Amino acid sequence: MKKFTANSSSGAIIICILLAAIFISEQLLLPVSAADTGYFGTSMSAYRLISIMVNLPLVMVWFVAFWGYSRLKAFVEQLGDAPEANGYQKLSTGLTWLAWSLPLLAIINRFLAGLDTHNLNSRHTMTIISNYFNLLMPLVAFIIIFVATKSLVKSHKLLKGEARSSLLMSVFLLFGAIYCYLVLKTADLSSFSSSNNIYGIPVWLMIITLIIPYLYGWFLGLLAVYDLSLLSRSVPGMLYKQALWYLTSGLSAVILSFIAIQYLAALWPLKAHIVVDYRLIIIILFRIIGGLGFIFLAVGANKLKRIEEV
Amino acid sequence: MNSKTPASVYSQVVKVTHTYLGPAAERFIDRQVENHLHKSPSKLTRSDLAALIDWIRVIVSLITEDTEIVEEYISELNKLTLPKSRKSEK
Repeated sequence: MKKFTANSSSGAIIICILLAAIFISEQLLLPVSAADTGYFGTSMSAYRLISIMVNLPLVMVWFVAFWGYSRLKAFVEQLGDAPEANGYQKLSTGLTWLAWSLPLLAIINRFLAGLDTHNLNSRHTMTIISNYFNLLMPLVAFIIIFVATKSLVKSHKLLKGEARSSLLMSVFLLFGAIYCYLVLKTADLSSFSSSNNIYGIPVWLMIITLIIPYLYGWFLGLLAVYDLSLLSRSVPGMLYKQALWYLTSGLSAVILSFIAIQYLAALWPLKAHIVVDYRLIIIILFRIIGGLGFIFLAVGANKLKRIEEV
Repeated sequence: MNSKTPASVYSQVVKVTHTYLGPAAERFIDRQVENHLHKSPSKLTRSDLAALIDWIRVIVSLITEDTEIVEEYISELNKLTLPKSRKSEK
């Protein structure tokens, strides 16, 4: 068993190295428009170097994320056919989706941005495709994580019939209303078919295929965090509770950082070139919080695994 | 492993362990009995307790560095080794 879990962690890290290599190759090889390099007033090679340096903290977060989900998978392997194994299995699948979404979305977005650096119409299409990719992977992850936490709550036979906090609902409603206001504020609402908005698609399509799915995903993500934090407080066993606290804190940081980044990305449209300003710093900060979340998650998973293996 | 006899030594040990290891308690005790005492958990007797507690002390020290929790857990387990009358005196 020990051999298998060690392999699963190193396997995840090797895959992450490959993905990082693909991403760095893209930064070095894919075309960059003269307008992009002009933003910094540098040569193309200097621009490429700057973009690699700016993305370096994010690439480090990928490694932490891959390590985090692989540790949770190792714990699941240790659980065997325990009643809570199914819930933890789903949780590790959801976190795998989140971890993989980090490099995959970066690679896809860079690839799309590099496809056509001159044609504005083509850039517009790439932005639309990129926005849907940015929505889909975390959405799938949030749905799986929500199902996982429901399963964990059920398997621990806790919180039966407990009503969800009205405070959580109120915070979410406020959060969702502000998001809708900020996004719709940028749109041309004189016509429902107008594409003059940050997503570059008709307003009706933007509401149905982006705003609603985003809100749905965030709602499930927040509910998952809430359910797991209630579970970690009510589960018996001092040592088990300590380990679960790390897992819950980690998952909360990961989910909240993803939601925050999606929220900000929706409000601040993507630029083809790197914009080094306070927005980039805030996004890197949230990515680092997510990375710390994956570290906490790995620590919690290691502690739980220790309980199951000795 | 699921010994349902309320007064069985096994269920008493699991009950105490539940306070520290929660949902993992039963699996933990099963492993200790099978791996270190080389017997079926359902066949655990009071005479096995001393050896089992020694093993548990070593194993739980690998899980946590909090000696206070370890000592409290061991002290709770040690109470199970006392005859019923002595326990009620305490």
